Amino acid sequence: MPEIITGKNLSEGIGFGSVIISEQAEINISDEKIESSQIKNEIKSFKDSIQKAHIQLRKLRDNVGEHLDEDSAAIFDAHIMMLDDPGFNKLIVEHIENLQKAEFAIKLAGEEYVSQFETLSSDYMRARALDIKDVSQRLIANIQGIELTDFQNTDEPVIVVAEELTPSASAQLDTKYVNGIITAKGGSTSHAAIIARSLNIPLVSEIDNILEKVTPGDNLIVDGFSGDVILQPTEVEMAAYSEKEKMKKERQNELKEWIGQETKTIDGIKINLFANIKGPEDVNDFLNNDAEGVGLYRTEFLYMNRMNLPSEEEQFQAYKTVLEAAKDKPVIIRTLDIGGDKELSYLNLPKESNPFLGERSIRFLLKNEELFRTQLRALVRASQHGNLKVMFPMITTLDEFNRAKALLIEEKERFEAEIKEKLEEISTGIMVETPSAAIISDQLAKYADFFSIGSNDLIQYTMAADRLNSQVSDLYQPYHPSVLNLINKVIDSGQKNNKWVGICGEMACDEKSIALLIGFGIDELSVTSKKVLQTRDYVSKIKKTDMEHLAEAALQVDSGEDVVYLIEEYLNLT
Amino acid sequence: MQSKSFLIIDETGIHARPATILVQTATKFESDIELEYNSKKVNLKSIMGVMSLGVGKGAEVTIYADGKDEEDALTAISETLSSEGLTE
Repeated sequence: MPEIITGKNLSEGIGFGSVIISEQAEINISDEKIESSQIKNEIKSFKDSIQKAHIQLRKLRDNVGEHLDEDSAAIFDAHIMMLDDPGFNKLIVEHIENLQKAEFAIKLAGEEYVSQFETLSSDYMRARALDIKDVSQRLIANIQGIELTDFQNTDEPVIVVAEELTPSASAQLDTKYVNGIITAKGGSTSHAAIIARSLNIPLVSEIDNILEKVTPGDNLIVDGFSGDVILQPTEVEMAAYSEKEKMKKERQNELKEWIGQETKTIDGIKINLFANIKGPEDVNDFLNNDAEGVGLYRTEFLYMNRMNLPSEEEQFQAYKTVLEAAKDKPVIIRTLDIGGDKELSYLNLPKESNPFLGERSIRFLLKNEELFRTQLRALVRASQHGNLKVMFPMITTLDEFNRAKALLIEEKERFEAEIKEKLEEISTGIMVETPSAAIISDQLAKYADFFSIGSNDLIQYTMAADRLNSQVSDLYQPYHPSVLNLINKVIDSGQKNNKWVGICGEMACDEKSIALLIGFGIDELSVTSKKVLQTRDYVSKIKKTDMEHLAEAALQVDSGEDVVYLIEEYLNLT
Repeated sequence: MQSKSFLIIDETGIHARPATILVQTATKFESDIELEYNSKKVNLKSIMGVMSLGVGKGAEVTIYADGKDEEDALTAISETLSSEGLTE
């Protein structure tokens, strides 16, 4: 019987093959002491291993540089430099002089470096620890005369299974035979993931004890789309996954046809199809998938994973990069949204017993005016470089919006005085994510230039169900009539006041809710970049007038389940 | 002895490529050169020392140079930091 285990999909594709284990070469290293007469010999074999490693790494580097990018090759420049590291060398020699065997001295020195790391919690430090391990192992293997990893010798399709794949091992992957990779550890920014994606090899990671679950020679399937690994597949699964691979490839090619096209329903209603981004690092994804604008730039990532606040200049550079890359496409930048489940440890904010109902988001910004002004100033400056729209999150009262907007205007005027030049108006909108904002949306629409519905929070606040608490997850119902009535109200208020309304939560990515939202009259959908083309394709297959009937009916039924049932009926019919 | 402080603005901090180039630059000088971050000092001629600090985005680091060519060393390192896009 086939068994399926699921991990994290880090590189797309489907691979078939027999298991080959990439040993982290836990080579036997004896900690037996040497005689002092052997010190000289051990130091010599250590130095020889370095010479040999120099030659190996140069070869590897050139090889990698040829078919991967320079950034991947730079990993090996760093490794080459580690061989000559004065501190590392000195430490190893000291250990040998303390009567350790060369291999053990190298192992100890490597471990001592890793133990000095402040923390191993970040991807960056984990990758550096792996670099040190990789170099140490190379030296040890050289002393013992062992070949480290050798995927080159295989001539049949293989799936490489490893606890964690070192950069050296990843770089040696031969795409001719390596059809997939499974690892127990390694995040999406690990060297292995970067290299696997650039080589188009499917990679599934974060499967604990994977080495205990497979033996070399086992046949298996790696599904880099879903993160599934199928152990002992039968003919049935083999056929099904070949078919899936073929279909995925066809589908991807089909979707590419949508690049450069408009997003329109059958009856010709245009929908603005935008993408959500976290920062400049997502710009390529956004452009490659032909999104028509940025519907939500989450600026909190600029503030997270660091020790202090980002400066105005740093923020300006980030916003400018995105605006310039987007050319004249609209870019909606949301001001800092922290609190709730997103903390900034360096601000040392007091713990709240109910953070989702506490001083989060715009409430925090209005109370910390200096921090808010820094961000607004960076936004004002960046507005010269593209089509910027500013959105304020978590608005519950008109006063909050007006105060936030007044600060933006003040900063704009101040900057204009500095540069002695008038800037264009910056359009300002509201992220509608509280029931209060939805209920008074008619009033808000007179002041705001646009609305964007943040469905995730709007659902949790409307249903009074913490979206992170699994005990109440049954109440987190996107299709509940209460939620739909509020969404309908917001869209309605926008239309009455000639303001456009978008949506940027998970509901924008779900086909069932897209149908409903188009029926309500949504103007803009903001999805993850990867879903842009698929959504454009989907929208082209639905008719707005049909969806209007559906939306009307959905507001009349008794429960969320009934709404889902209704949508399915409609979609099957049309 | 001379010193100078810098703010690291690169997305990924001092990652493999700039770390390598920084160490290469430092190695050209006779002076003792150290990098300080989070009140921990390491030898800037040691790649593993530099990596062990885990200097990320937004970090404030100080470079100390002590020796005959300390001034040239600091200038060269500032230039490298900026040409690698680590600082403004």
